[in-house]
Amino acid sequence: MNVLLVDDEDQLVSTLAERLELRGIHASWVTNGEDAILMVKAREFDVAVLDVKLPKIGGIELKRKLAAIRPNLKFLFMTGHGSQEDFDAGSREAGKDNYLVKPVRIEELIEHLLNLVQAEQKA
Amino acid sequence: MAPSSSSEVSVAEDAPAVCGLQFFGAVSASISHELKNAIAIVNEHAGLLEDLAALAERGRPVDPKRLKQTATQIARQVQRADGIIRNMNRFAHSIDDPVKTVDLPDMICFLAALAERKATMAGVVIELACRDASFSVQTRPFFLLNLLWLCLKTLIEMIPSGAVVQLGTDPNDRGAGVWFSCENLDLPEETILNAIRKQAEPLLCVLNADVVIDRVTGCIALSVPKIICDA
Repeated sequence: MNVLLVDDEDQLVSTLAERLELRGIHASWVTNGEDAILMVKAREFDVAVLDVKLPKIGGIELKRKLAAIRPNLKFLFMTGHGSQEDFDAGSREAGKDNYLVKPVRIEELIEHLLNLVQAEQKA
Repeated sequence: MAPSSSSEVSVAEDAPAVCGLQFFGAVSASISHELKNAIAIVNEHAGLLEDLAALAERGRPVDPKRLKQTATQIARQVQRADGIIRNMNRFAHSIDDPVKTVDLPDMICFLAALAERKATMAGVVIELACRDASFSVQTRPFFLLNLLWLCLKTLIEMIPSGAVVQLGTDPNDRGAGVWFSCENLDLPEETILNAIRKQAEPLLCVLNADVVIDRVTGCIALSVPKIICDA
């Protein structure tokens, strides 16, 4: 599985990527929307994990841009806020089951990633 | 003209308090988001240490440098969280005294710290340009901070990503001036000034302050009295 992690906190995404790699999941990371777009144009990913609040291009807008580039790409949102407003926005875009609140448990993240990829394979 | 109802009068009188509550909410939300991020990073580093320990138990050697690096990162995030909490505490206490003598350059630095996340999210850089080391005004500290926040927030929201906002303060004949400067504006300065005035009117009134465009420098210039009249 190839996963792209997008969050403006580089320490968060780099460590999360390292922990996913230790579990056999290939994870790349970037800290802003522009780099995420370049990455998705250059490489195939199964799932993009996006922070809702990103500098310049927000997570919701970024999801739409990435989906336009790769229609089969799956999305998972994560946020530090956990506010109803963010939950509603994330749920609308990715479904209420694909929205995680930081701090994220790695097992929970992997479960969501596997569910998304397996759902794609069944379809 | 029909006389104002008592509820209309009450809303007008409450306007600074409503502004203040909105300000308190916005800053609290920003601080809580920053704290959540620091905690999330500590969580990942702690998780990584667990992962490395589990691998070591299974016979894979652990690089001591990697352990030290992770511990250093945890310590950095603890320091970061401590700084955020100190700012939160200072902000919460800014409402303790209705009127107080405040060091304006110090308040400007504090404002920049409070607004840093908002600026970063908009791709804007805040630069401090305080020329005088220290000078004071007697004012309503919470409402002044609220007014400064509104000016900076409005500017950040109306300027293009990548812009730099310069922020400074100087003593003047009336008391003190605080100026906000930004090059490469997409909008006329008057548009930004009007947007600030529209939101800040109750605060300008309660602080006996004024905000104008400085015709010489083109900056948005806020002016506050040395001593607030009804202190």
